[in-house]
Amino acid sequence: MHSRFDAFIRLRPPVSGELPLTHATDGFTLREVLDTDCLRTQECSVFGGERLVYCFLGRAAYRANADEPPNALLAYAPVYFVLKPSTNLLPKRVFPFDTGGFIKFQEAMHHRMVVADFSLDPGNDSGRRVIHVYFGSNRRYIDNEPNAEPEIPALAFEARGFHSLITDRQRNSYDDRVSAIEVQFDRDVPLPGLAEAVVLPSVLLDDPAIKAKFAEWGAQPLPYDLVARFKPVEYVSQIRTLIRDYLIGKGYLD
Amino acid sequence: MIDCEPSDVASVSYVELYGYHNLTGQLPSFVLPLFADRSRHNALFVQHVNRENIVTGFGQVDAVGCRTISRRAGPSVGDEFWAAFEWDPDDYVIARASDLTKLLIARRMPETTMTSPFLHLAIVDFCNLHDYRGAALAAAFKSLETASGDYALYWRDSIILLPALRRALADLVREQIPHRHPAERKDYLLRCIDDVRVGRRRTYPIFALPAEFLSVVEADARGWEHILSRIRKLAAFFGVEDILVRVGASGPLQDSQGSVVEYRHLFQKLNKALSDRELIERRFWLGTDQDPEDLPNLLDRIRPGLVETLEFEYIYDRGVKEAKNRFVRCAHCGRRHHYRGYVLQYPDGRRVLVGKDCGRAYYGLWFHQKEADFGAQLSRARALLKLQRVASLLPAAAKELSTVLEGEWCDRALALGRTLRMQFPNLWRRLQATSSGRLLVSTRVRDAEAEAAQDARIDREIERRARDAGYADQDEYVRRNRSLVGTDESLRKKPIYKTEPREFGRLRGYRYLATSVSEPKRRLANMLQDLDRSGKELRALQTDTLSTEALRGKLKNVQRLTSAIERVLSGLMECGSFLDASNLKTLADWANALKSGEGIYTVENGLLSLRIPSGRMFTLEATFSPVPNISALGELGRALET
Repeated sequence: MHSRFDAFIRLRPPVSGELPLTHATDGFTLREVLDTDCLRTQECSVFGGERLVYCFLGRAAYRANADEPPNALLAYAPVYFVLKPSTNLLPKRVFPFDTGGFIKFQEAMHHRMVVADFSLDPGNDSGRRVIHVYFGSNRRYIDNEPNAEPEIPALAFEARGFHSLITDRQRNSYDDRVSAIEVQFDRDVPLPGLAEAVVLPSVLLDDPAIKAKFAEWGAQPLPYDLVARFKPVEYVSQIRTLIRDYLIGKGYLD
Repeated sequence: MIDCEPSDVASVSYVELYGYHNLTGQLPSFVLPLFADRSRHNALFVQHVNRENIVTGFGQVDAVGCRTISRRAGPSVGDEFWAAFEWDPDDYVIARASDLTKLLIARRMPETTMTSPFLHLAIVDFCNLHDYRGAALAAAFKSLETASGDYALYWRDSIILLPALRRALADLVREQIPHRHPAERKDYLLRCIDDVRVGRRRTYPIFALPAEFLSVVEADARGWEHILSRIRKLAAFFGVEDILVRVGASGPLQDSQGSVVEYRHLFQKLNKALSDRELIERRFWLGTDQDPEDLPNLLDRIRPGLVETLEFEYIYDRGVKEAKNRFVRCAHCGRRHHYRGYVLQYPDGRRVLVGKDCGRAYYGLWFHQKEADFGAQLSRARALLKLQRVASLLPAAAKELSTVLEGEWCDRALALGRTLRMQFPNLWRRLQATSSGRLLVSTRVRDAEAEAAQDARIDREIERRARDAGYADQDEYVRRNRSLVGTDESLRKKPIYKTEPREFGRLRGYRYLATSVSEPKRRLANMLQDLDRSGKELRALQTDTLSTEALRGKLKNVQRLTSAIERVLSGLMECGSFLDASNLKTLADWANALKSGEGIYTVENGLLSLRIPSGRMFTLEATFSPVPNISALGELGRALET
């Protein structure tokens, strides 16, 4: 059964060009990933304890604003995996936003709307269709610059609600996770040949085993300066720009 | 795992140290100091720090697994920020950044972390050790290279050089804009800094700035030069000879009405910069038989305001005889008075012809950069073509040299030299003393100059004696004292002679003499090995990883080698000229004219002989096989010279 939001999205064409997936973790978890060569599923409280791997389409989604630092220490030593867009793994679910933040997003929606009302067909290029309707291009999606007036039928409340949410510049309680397309997998995601880049604190590259592992996976390291991250003012110019530059350099945003 | 949801926090202006968290699990390492507000013991804080390293506030975090070390001290808003470093769980320091800097230096951390290049770099940056930074960057680059050259180049260009250029450009905009533009313009330009890109052409970085920065760059040429020199200096730490920066169409361009027009992103073009194969095949020059004005899709005039979207396509020169010295119409000035210029193309394929002088005079920095880039492509294409041709000629040249060395010709030439030295040692010695084959003999001739000086001295002496004897006229004195003057030796005007070298003739094949004693065969054998090696190297060369200068360097090496081979071979080949009968006759005549008394030299039936006074004969059979064919080596030499 399709959600009402998906019923609206599936009739729209996908944006041209694919984006890679990103997965966020931290320095500690990286060690486990290096040992197992895959992103392991973890129990998720939002979806009733299911074991899932969370990814986002293209974005380093937890990005903090320059004047609003992340409030968990996880955010101080993040490690991001950038995964090739073409994967044989079929997602379990796809949503147009970070479901973890849905409680906050509800403020901009009808109070009876629930997460499931926004679930998208995981096998139908749904993410690219959302980008086409709401952003017009991958570049605008990455820069979180939504289209001002997409054509949305009057009764497509979910679609309209989502548009209000992503274009709301007055509210500061949620960041760009509100429009970061979430892709969930219910099985471990193998990294060799699939990981194309890894964002990590530069000091971790002193470990020859890490460098060797990246070479084995074929993943470009994108190191950032951890010491500078102790100063929140440097955040934006570090990780966000790192990934954006990487996507542009690889032609994902052409 | 440390994670939590955001929560609203009342502002805090003073916190006390609570502990620290090692974010990467590495040791030694910088760690994150955590603070607590005394009034709310459950809340942990990190510092917000501005660019001047001053605490501007505190942000609440939730954490588990952190090290607790409560202390009644901590930063307040407005203080210098605190930093922390952990050597091991029993050895850590949390202090003001400046105090930690002193301690790290005192504990020689910059020196002792050289084996961990990225930690070393972090320490160098934290402690602001500018003198160490170059070596630290180079070491980190090398360390990444061990995993992959591409990783290292990406890190150098995208993570070190690009942010440095962006920061410098942002500073320039901030400095410049208050005086020249409204605030929106500044914000717009600062946003455009995200569109500054870096690409790579072979191993050196190439930066692309959106066209919006043309005005910024042109308004402060000195500031811009300063930025470039800083980036060049930074790049030099990685052994980068130079960087290329292009300011041009990139990202959204604003047209004169203020609406945003999307143009093809310049960076796409840079990323798709022509490969060496494409460069070899690319046509740069319009032939002298092709009139640029006959090209299809030609516009009469430049499209207003869209100059920066043009790409250089061809160069033409109609100022030569073959092109009938015809002026070409210029799409800038509209007149037909340029011989030389460029065919430029818009993204939609339409072309314009712009005279060289108009382009340089009216399109400023953009044109210069594009022209320089076009010129660089042209010059690389030439180097590549030359390299390709030289690589194809090298095997035949090496084979030819090998044949020469294995043949009898070389041994025969050397044997003749040895015979000449042994049979005619005196002649050999005299030949060595001659210059470039000029055969000289000494001749006795009157020294007119010395004689004139002698005559003048005698005349002065007679004049003095006449004066002393009271004669008004010196002729009168001489007449009256003829016997005295006639017998005085000092007043006698005698002929004076001198020895003068006279060119007797010119010896052909003189270089053979010098070459034959310089171990030519061994040297040629070594050079053959080098030639073989060069051929293999050039054929296997991955030119895309080399700068044009490096390509030229490779060609120069082959050219030096080829010239050396040519010098030795041509020296030996002069053996034939040297042993020519008429040349030997000149040599024999010259040796006899020297009148050294060693004997009589003769040349008969190709035999050079010396009969010494005792009647003994020394001979050199002057026969020599034809010189070998070295056309392949000659062709290689010509290919290298063009």
